[in-house]
Amino acid sequence: MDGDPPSPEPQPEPPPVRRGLLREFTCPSCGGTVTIRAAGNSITAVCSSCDAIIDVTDENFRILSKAKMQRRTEPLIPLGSRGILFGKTWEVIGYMERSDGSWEYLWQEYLLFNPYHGFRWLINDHGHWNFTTMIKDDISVVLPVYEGRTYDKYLAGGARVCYVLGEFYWRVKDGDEVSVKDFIHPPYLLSYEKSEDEEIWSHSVYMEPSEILRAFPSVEELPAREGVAPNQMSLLGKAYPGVMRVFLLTLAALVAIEIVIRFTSRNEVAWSGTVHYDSHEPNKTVLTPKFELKRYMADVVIEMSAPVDNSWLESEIALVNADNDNTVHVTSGVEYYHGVDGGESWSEGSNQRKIFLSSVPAGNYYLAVDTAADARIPAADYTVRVIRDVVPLSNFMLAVLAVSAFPLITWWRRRAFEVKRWSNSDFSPYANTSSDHDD
Amino acid sequence: MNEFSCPSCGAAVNFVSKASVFMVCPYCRSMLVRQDVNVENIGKMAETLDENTTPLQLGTEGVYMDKRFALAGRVRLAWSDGSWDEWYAWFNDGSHGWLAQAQGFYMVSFQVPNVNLPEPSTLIVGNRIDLEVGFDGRSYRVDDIKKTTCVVAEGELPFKAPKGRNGISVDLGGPDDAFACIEYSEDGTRFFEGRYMEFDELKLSFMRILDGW
Repeated sequence: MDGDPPSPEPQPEPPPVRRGLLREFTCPSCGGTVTIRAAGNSITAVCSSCDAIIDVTDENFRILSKAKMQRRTEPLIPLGSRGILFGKTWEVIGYMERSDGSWEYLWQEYLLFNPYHGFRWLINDHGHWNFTTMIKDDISVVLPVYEGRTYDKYLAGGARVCYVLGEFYWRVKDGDEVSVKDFIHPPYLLSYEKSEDEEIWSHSVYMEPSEILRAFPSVEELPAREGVAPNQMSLLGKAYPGVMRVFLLTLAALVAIEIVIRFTSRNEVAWSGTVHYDSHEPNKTVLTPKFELKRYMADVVIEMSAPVDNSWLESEIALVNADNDNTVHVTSGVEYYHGVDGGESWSEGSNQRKIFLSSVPAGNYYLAVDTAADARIPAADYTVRVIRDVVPLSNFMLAVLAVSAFPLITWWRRRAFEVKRWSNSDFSPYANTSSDHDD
Repeated sequence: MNEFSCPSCGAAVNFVSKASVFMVCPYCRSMLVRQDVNVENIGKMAETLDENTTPLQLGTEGVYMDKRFALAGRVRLAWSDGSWDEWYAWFNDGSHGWLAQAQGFYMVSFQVPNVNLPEPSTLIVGNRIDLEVGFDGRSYRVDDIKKTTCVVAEGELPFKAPKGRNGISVDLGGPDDAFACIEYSEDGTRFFEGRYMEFDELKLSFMRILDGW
């Protein structure tokens, strides 16, 4: 199966068209020359000068249709062009413009021929390209799984021929109608076409416009892509599984590190005691006994808890290293207010406060505490605790947040791409979640 | 006894396959039918093969399921929407089968005898039919039903194939590229079973040179 995306290496030039296999005859309608590139295979050919559709299998080249077709667009890849796709040379021999039921939505199909390998299609749907192979496999009995891939139903609709050019291996008719069902597994698409007397399955692989340009060097420019194609792969979509794998691994590593840290951290109380405050001695500094902070470098939490009740209390705490007088100043206050207002009780603040100090060196320390308080507190005893080697949860949370940012953005953008992909489908799994219909 | 001289032109002609009963003399285009010890000339094949874009020709060799084969004959069948070629292939294990080439597809198949086959009028394109083939029987989808006429033949064939030989050809498909064909003709109904093959899988050699390709 040539379903693998092509390699980005520069392609060799396709061999030039030689006249050897070409057949020419005179159009019975206008006398112009009609060229046949797939003699023996082609059943119908369209005269490029007068649009007559001619039965090539008939000795007299019977005219099947003489109606002038409404010409819509010229082929972007001219008939007779050769290009190398998936390592094989293909010649454009037919061109067909089709539309859905609306007659407004048009797309173009190029019939490709190689005398050894048969027929393929290149389909251009609003700047998006598909390389399509007809399959004879009876896959309706195995769907939704085909060749190990699970396909999602994308579309059920119709297609009708608006304009034809070149030659075809079936009896092509302007206005031919088929019903169509599409199933996707990006970058692949399975398509089912049913007409009165035929059922055809085909398998497509999405192609980047740059791959088409590389295959057909004579084509200089292709139209820009509109929207997202049913089986288009986003770059993000390709990277997504990798991003998620790295994310989950990183997350697992973070959890493991956090567990190790929590098991090895001492989280011990270095000092705990009561500080007395008396409004009569407002400027008295309370000195605590010395205590030891162990472990070379570690975090410290100073925790205070005061019996405030509709009042406040504030401490200026100096953490002094008794060995070298290095000091860290901390201001920590608590306030707690509550009451009843209009029948509803309320409260704000708390009588507890924790101050976090990171990377405090080991040594002998003491605290020097100055207290100020609400005039309503004449005197109070409040608790101060110095806790050594604490592991704050916030470190872990910050780390998780940091590593989640990119995957989250990736997930969101991928989802936005998928919503867009499914916006033209009647079977969108996002149909109920996306409120904005972009028409 | 496979070597004869053409009763019409005297050229030495050679049936490579024991199963062949019919041959078009490559020199004078007489249609020869093999009898017990000699060949009978039943007339000239007037039509010539209008060469198309096929890379196949008499003598082309290939591989199918690890067996080598060579193409010994061809019959071109026409139907309402064109024609296709059936190549008579004989294999190096003594068996013989067919390589058909139509709409760019290659199908290799072998006749399976003694299969109960439905009447052609009961078949509908798209429907499935169950046939008592193989161990558990097989289910096939009817892909198309074509009224055929033999237009021209060359090389040797296991049946008489004069121009105008009529028949009905029913193509059947199954999962994993399974291919089967029922052929209803004046001298009986035959069933063939095989596979769709990719060109590259057939590893063809001694092909026709296609100018420009």
